[in-house]
Amino acid sequence: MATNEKHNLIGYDPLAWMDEPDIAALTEVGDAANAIETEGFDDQESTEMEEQEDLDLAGLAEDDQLTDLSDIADDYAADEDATVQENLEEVGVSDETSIENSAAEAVTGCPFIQLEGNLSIQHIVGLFETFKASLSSNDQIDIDASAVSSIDTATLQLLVALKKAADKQEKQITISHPSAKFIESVKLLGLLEALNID
Amino acid sequence: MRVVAIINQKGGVGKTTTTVNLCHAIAETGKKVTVIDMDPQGQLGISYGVRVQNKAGIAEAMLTETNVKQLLIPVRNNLQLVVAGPKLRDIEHLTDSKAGRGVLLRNAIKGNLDDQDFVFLDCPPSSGLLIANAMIATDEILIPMTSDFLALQGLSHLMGTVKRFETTLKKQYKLLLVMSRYASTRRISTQVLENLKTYFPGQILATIIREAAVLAECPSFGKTILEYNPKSRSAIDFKTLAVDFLEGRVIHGNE
Repeated sequence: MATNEKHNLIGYDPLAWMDEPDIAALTEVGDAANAIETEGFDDQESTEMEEQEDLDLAGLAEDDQLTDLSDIADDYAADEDATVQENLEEVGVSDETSIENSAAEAVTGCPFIQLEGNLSIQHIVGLFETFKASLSSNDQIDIDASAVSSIDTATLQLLVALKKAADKQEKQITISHPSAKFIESVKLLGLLEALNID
Repeated sequence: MRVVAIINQKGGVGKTTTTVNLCHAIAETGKKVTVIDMDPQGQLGISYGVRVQNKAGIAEAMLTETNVKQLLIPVRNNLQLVVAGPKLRDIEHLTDSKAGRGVLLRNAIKGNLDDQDFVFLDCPPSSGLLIANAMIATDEILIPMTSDFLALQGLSHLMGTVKRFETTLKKQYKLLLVMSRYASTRRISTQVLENLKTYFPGQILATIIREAAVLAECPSFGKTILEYNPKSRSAIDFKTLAVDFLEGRVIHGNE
């Protein structure tokens, strides 16, 4: 939009931002993950990225009157049974696992999420939805990481963000029985303390 | 059935005028149309000549077990209306303790209006829970736009909202604009239209609704422009707009 034309009656173009590239939350996750892989990782960077992820998780919600868009999205997701099921399958949580999870929840009294297989940025949307839905409706979540065969930096960042969001809401996230590969990745990135893993 | 939300968070851009007359014009082509008043001001009913006070409306279908079919008011051939209802304003203030508050409208519509070709939602000039319900219930958005700078500013805000919904709900809306209240004698009108063609190529309906005093007169008589003055240029504008909408006729952009 030319704003300097002599006879232009629109001095400022409010739509100019639409030509700018989208900066979606997931892109930020991906970029941050790349930053970890390419630039290494120290405590300061860790804190900054955790804060960034925390903002992403806390929502979509800090804008104008729609302060509860994040909750409303949960409603939508809950209503979309097929989508939710797809998301669960995407992150390796099958119907069978859900039944097991329910049984585990009945025993421990707290919701249970089973992580398994290779967890990478390709699965992060489904995982994000699962975490978000679970966090919104529970005070305590147990994440079983015993069957994780690999986990990338983006997924670890999501876990850190989940932990921080939970702390802020005075809720509790426990990562139990982490596999050797899970611990190896967490240790490599210096996130043992952040994820409260012994 | 296609659900179309007529939406613009800015007031005075012609949302209700567009809804009333476009829906009637589409119904006149033989399509079955239901229009739902999502604006607590409840002016849609008045515009169609429905003057009953405190009649149950979409709020009841959203908040209680009332089936939306029980709320339908036939207002013209092929055209039925669901009024806002006195409780609609309350929905804006629902707290997060109300489960599923974002999908109330979608659930109210689901399976109940499948015999209709179109369900139009006349949305309020706000960005609260009613808009969220409309955005979740629809896949198509029609944005009435006036040709002035503040409307551009409002559109910028609205597009921010639309993009946030698209990101959050992981869906992409079919988006169309309709130029309303267009004053062809003002130079800024042309410039605003050119600006919109740049950002919304192929998304502006071909017919421009020109500003006309007659459009402001008909609501008080409970008539659409097709009835109040069927030979007026405004009536012709809306009839042509209906064909544009049905056939996807748009203005090509400045790409």
